[in-house]
Amino acid sequence: MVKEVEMATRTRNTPALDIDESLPLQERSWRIRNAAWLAMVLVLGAGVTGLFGRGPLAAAEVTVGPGVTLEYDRWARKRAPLLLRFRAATSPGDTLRIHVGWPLIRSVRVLDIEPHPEGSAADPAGVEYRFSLQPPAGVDFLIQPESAGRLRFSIRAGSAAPVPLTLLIWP
Amino acid sequence: MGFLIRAAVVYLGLTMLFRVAGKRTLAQITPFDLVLLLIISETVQQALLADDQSVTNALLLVIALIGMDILLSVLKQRWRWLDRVLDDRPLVIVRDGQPLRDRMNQERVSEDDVMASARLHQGIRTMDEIAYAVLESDGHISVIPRR
Repeated sequence: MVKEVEMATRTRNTPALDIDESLPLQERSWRIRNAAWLAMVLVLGAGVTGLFGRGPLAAAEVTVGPGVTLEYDRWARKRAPLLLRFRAATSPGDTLRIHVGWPLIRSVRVLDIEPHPEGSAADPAGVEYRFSLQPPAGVDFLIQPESAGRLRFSIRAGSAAPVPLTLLIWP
Repeated sequence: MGFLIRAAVVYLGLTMLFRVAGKRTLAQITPFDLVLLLIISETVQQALLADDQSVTNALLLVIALIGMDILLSVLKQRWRWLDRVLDDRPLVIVRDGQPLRDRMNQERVSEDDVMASARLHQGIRTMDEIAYAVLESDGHISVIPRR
């Protein structure tokens, strides 16, 4: 059936030319192309707004302990630096303890921790880092996810209950 | 295995992007198009190589890309519909000296483009002298003069 339509179109349009022209299929191709252009605009819009990380929609903040918040990107990219920024309301000389679960530590490469921790200790659930802070206090973990997919882990500050977090890592 | 997946994703992604960009996009490569191609190759290079910059990885990727190109050409030869989907079809854009403007607009071809090709290949001076102008599937314009 399709072949008959193609042949009819071919004969009607260009009887003197032996070319494989089909206007109905060409028009369908144009419609698909226009839809693809729209999809490209939408993907670019999603990229600008942060759906693939590094944008306002990706930015998230969560409280991980008394007076301690964590700013991070809920959507990130494989092998791209990702900043976990802890902000703490502390007094001079206070010690901040941040406990990071194993699933995160095993799935990322830690590029930098600023300021450097005074010490760290591993336990079955993860690693606890100790920092001596001066106000205004903050700790930055610069990490790099090594695999794509959903990354579930927990973080806590001080003796608070662990806060479960999920990152979506784009390939 | 990772290199094969990366090569396949990049190859298929670029194939689809250039397909939807239209016939005319890179038919006549201007100096800027050449720069654009270089930028595109630089952009995908990192994603292809990942963190492995060894000669082995580079050779594996090149073999994978060329292999996919050969495979696709074999499949297009076997299944004609695939050839039509991926490479598009020729389209008549001028008939009996009359430009078919709807088609030309869809394909972003101007009368100047048609006349440039007519002058270059056939020594034609006016649109009236053209029997057919065909936008080929590779984006070039073929011109058949009136007899």
